Amino acid sequence: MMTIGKPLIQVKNLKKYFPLTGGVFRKVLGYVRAVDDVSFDIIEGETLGLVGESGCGKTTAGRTILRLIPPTAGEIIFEGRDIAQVKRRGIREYRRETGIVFQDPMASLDPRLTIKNAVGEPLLVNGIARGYRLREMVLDLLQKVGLTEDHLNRFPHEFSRGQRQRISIARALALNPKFVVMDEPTSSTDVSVQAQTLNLMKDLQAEFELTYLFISHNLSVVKHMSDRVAVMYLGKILEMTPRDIFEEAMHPYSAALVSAVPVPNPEYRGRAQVLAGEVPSPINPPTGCRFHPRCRFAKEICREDVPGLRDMGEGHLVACHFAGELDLEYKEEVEAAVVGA
Amino acid sequence: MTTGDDFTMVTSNTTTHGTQDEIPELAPDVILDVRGLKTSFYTYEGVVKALDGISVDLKKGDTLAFVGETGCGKSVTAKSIMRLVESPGRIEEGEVIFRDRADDGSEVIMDLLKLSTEEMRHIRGNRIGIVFQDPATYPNPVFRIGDQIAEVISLHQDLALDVLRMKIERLEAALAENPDAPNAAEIQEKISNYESQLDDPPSPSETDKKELAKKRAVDMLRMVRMPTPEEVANQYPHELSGGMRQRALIAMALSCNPQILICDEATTALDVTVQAQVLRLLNELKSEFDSSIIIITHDLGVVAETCTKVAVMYAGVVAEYASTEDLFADPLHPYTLGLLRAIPKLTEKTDRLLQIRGSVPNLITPPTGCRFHPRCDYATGICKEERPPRAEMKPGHWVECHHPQGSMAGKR
Repeated sequence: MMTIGKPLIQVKNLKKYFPLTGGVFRKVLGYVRAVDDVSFDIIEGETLGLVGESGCGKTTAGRTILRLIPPTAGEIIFEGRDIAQVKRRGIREYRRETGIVFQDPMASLDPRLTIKNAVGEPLLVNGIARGYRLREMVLDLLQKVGLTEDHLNRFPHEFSRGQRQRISIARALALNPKFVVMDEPTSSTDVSVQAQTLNLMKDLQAEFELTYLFISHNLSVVKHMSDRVAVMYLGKILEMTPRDIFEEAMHPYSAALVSAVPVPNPEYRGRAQVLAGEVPSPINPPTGCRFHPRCRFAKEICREDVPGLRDMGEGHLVACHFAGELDLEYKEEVEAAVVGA
Repeated sequence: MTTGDDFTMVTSNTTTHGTQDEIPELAPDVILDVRGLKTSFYTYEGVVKALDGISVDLKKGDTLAFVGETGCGKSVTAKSIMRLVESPGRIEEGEVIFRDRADDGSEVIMDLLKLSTEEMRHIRGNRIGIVFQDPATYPNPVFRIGDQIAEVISLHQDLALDVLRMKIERLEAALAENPDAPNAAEIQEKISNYESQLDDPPSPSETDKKELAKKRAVDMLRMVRMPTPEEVANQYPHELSGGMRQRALIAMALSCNPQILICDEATTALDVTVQAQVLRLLNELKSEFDSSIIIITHDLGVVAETCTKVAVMYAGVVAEYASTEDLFADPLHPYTLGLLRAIPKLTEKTDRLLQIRGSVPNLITPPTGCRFHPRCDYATGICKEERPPRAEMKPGHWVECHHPQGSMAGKR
């Protein structure tokens, strides 16, 4: 499907901890380990899908990589520079090369800016264009996302959700970035609008040779958009694969996650492997493998050692002590045996 | 919380149904039949025709889905059935025929839209339960979970007999534990006294009722597979996670053993793994409680996973109504077809999604004729002028379309 190209961004041992404070002096009581020692590459021109349940740290990972929030530790290598270390000017330069589309288009556009000003703002701030030239450039961008000249002087409230999301995309692409983070871009839209937005994003990627980090909780959408899929759980990447995650998930968590997605076809009914319990708190994550308290294959070693990502062939990385040795097919008797023991 | 007087008044009304002039007809296995339901909202901008003639029926033991995009009227349908449409909304026309099974097994057929407010209050929450979308806003934040469920139970159920049984059991237990107690004879006398009242139980005291309702609430929480039901009953909603809260709401809705449970986007706010837990629970409870379920969702995956019947809604109209297998194997309405093609699928890799052009119409001035025609690839002149009739194209497969597709392409 894709050849391994040169990495655009290399993330190494990235950590982002949010302090929990309390008391009169805002004493630090503990940390929320939102992203905890994560490493991966994003290849030029690819879409890397990042999928996980709420609170797994996928949005924090996206924002930290863009330096919208400073990382606690780790490296983010972009074009030979460690973005984690750069200061103000470096950050501004980096932001010219990157863009982000947020989840809620109702909240991410300033209600008091016309569309022309909203989309033109990055061009103006960076001194790229002004006046008539700016208007031309904005109009060009709007036409790329399927809007027309009439829309230039309107305000965000005059648009539907789908249209607003396109405006956000136009704004993210204004500086002709190399790398764009899509943070749940379609999770608040209906399926017919979602199809339009996803198709548009694919077209723009081909036209502008963009690299995407596509973050979503919706596995079907991630699979549709991505060349590689990374599965996150409690701040860790458990599996990352260029293969079809539906057919070839190798981590017990990914397999359970994939099985829980309802497929719009009654033939696939009843294949959900229901996980016991709930996601533990990222303040006190479990020792060893983060998933071990809910894993039906967990052994002693899972409680003690944190498994690293291992290459299982073709760049299929799995963080499991028993990757490749497990039979992840759902069987009732297996579940019964584990629950009984 | 409620008083005992309220409660007796409600029960005495149920046997008569004075406002019912004639008994509507209903096929034997159908428990809810919605016929030509129209609901409108009178806003400043104009009349929003949110439901424009909805007809579906729910058979006993079925799980029916209303599926569609935002603003198609699926939630309004649920609210109209429950008569919870609030001003400026109004139910204009139609019938909602419901087969009510009383506790003694006798059946009464009634039109919910013709009941008095009192009579409807007896149905709502008791015979038909509802679970709403957002578990963060629905349980009352200032009452304990157990108390909220207990309130529903003591409001709707006649607990007199059960309170008496509870008292007998308690005394018997005391006697069994200590048979040589000095007051053994007294206790024995009390027991026989209570037993003589079993045929005509006196109305119980508030404290006894509360105690029993609380006990039942814990049982309900156990039913919905709460890991520590006694503990959860004493917790406040904010102490529970989203999935647990949704389960507590399901427990509340099921606490009166309703004949129909309506889930209005009940799993939408949950993560997929939690959603899978809740959907499986619903399916198990349906057979345990011998009730029928109506699921309102925008997710065709949830429909395929859990439902036996589907009504696809578009702009206040049921475009297509069929069994789940039939609908997914052979969608006849162009809108259903478009929806199925527009979803990215986990099971296959497609390069491009097919999209439905245009966007959902404004329901103050809906399109003439078929409401889908401006977005439809198969629309002709007639679609613009005449609303297509509701027709049964295949046994049990109803479509509102002039030009059905799939196996019925060109047959009309």
